[in-house]
Amino acid sequence: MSGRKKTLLKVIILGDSGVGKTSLMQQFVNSKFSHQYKATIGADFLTKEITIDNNKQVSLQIWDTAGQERFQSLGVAFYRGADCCVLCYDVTNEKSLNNLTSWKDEFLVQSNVTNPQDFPFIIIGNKIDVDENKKIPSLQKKLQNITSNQLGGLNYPVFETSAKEGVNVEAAFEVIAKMALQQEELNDANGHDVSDDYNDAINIHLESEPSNCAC
Amino acid sequence: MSSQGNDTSSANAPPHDDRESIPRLLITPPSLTPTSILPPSISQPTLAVNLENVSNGIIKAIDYSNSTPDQLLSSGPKLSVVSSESSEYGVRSPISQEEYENLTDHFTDEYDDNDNTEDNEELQNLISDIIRYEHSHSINLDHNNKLMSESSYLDFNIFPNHDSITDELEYYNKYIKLSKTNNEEEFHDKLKHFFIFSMAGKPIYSFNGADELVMGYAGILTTIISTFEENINEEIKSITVGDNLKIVAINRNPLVLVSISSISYELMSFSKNDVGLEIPDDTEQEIKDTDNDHTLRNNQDLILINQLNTLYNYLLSILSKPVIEKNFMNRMNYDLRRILTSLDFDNIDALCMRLSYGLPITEEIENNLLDTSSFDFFISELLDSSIQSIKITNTTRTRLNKILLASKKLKVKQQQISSTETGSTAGTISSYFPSVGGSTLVEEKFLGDDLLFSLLATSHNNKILSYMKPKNHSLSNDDLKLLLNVIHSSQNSLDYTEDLWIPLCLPNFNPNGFLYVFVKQINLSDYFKSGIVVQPLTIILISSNKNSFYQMQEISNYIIYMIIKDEAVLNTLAQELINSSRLSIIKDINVPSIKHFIYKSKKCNQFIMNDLIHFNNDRSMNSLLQLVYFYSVLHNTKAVKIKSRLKSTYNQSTSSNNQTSSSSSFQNKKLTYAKWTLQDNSVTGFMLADNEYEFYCLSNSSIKSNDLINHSLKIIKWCEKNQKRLFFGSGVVF
Repeated sequence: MSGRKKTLLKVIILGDSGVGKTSLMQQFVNSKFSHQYKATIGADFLTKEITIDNNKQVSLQIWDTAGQERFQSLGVAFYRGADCCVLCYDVTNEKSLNNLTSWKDEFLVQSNVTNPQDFPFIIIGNKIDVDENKKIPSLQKKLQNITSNQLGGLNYPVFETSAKEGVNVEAAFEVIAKMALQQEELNDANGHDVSDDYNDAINIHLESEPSNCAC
Repeated sequence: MSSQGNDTSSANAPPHDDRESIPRLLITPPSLTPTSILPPSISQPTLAVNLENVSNGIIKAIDYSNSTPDQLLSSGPKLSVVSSESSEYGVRSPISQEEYENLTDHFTDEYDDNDNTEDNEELQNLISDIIRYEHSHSINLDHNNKLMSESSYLDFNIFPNHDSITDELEYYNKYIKLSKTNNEEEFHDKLKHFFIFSMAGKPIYSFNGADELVMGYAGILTTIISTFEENINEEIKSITVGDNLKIVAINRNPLVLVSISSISYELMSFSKNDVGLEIPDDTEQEIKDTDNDHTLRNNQDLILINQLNTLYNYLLSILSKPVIEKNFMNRMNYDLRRILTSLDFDNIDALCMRLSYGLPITEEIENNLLDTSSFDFFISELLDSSIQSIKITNTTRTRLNKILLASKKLKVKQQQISSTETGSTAGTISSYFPSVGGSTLVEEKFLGDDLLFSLLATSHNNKILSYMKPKNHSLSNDDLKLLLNVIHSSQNSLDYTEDLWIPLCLPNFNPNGFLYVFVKQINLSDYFKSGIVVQPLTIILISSNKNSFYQMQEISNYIIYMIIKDEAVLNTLAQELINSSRLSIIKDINVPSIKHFIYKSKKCNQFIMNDLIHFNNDRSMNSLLQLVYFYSVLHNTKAVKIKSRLKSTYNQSTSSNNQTSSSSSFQNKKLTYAKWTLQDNSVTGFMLADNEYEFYCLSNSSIKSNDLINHSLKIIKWCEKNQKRLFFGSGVVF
């Protein structure tokens, strides 16, 4: 019963296959990491409760999706009603970085959010634990290009994480929660006040007024 | 009886194991046409009979070719308890002139004794065939003198019991009792689940399990449901996993409601169990089945769908449709829990428990005298939202109706409304004057201008005594049930001083707005010096205007005053309430050997049943669960149609309108006979229905077949005679 006043946030994790979406989630929720790669089929759901700003209880309902093309048809159900979207790439895989824009577009098309420009996204570059020479050459510059330069770019907070070693994972999800919460509060403030509706009176038409049948 | 032994070899379902069974998807287009369930050939009428020995799932067909009536099939002695009690209560009190008139109102030609005997004979023949067949296949049960109370609900295989638990409470705690913990194993043990979540997959409610546990399931279920809709363009309705598990979903965009059940009586699909049976010389039987609920009941998911609709209606009743929709508009991520209160969640918990098991949510489930309002609710739901009335004389009911009507026509001087707001009841009553005497004063105003519906009901079990409605509006039974349920849950049962004012949306009346419900309890016992204890009554006044609280309060004061002012009237009412609060077959109808019955009048969709204490001498969880099971089986089993002697008469005379009305009650006559046999105990169930009524009863199996029929017919006749006392009908109209 205590869960009622907690805010519930739906978080979607998107990105190419193999960038470590499931690992990030596992690390965040269960503090576990597996070396074995097992592709996600369809989607995976995990829940984690965190406290932000010292007193706000937030339940994150994390929807981990399959990055593989063949599961992309899962469609609207995944995206609908999301509070925040996490775009993931692999710091050793340039293609996954370049695909971020199309993941974002896919999300906006499917989720049909009201104000796409305000919707909270964050970007996570995973696998920073690998050797420097395996990483994408001049990563920062390329990332810069993607986030700021392109038209309608991905001007969102970027986190570099290691799901394997648990680096920065918690911090990233904390920011996710904060952004989603902010958006939620903004929505509430934006006149979504429905209290008036409780006053909907029903117009009852009584055929004969009581005064007429008092005879 | 070798029922236990038969278990292994019978067609019983394999052990429950989800992984072994192949999930079947039952997809039906949103239009819900149960085409696949219709009999293969319309032109060849068959009578389907289901003579299952339900406890072991064996299905038997009757061979009618060489059967002769055998009236004394069960030669065992009648229970001694029954016969002694019957003599004790054998004498009926003489009836008054008034009562006599009420009774004779209902005597028409179709109920004359002659008809009844032939009717009786026909039933005798049919049922004895059924019973004779049973006996030829079962070991003698003659030594059966055991009290039913010694049997346990666990003996009947109502619920899956893989670890063979024999303790009733232990089983309840593990599989039935609701638990909100984060324990996955506990969660999966539960036989019944309800989920409500948004289309985005955010959980709103779950019967069992903590949030953390439920969130994943909400995600998975949403995904399945909406993937299905997107890709195949069909609404998913149910998923059947093997024989023991069913998932049913309804989509009420932006909400999705899901139920998962492994309760045997909720998974019943008689289309599977039916055995076709050809009745000789039955070539010209009319098979056009106009019985609406029959075709509906063919839909095997209907039980669970109805339950989900009841939950959805509850949400509508407290929020209304526009409020739900507007909250989700432009933001599918909305968390509906933000506008629900903990009382709402408690109420939904209680609803789920009532819908599934007819049990209250209580810590004292081991109590042998449980509150039976949950069972009442279950039966009401089972009988297509039939409403339960309370037996009072027609005179008293008419008197109460008149009081409600008079309260609607109350007038006050305009300025008096404000001055009486703070006044005491006694002080203000004298200032009332009903409008009947003429109305010349211009300052006068109708107090009840906004009053739409008035109800008088008993407080504890919400049985309706009196009902007033406008000419061109009425409340559906679903709305009434919802209303009574909400009132029941918000009433503090002992507080007679509080006045409740509840904004409530009644979805069938109008899902888009609110009505305002004034609720007040009257403790009739307070008005007796002699210390008579009478169950309290509840006044329910439904207004269309949210600012009319004080007017409704005045009206309720007037109603109370009118009820108590005449001592003789009050005495009569109290006496009748005392007499009928615990309806007894033996005492009130003078019929021994039938332990429990339900009679439903189809015309007004209201029902009456006797106190369930007579079934097992208690009101325990064990008895409740057995009754829930027996009645579910009787109701959901496809009945045998009786080819009535009068049926052919009817067919011949359909062209002449004069004849149709007199024989109409013999249309669609059908019966179901069921027997649950245990090693040392058994129960007989019997259902008889036609266009006018549905009758269900339970008895010890040692009852003789002719007694079963005679006594059933006697109860039915009693109910027909007492229609006006048993049912409030369509209420009084202003």
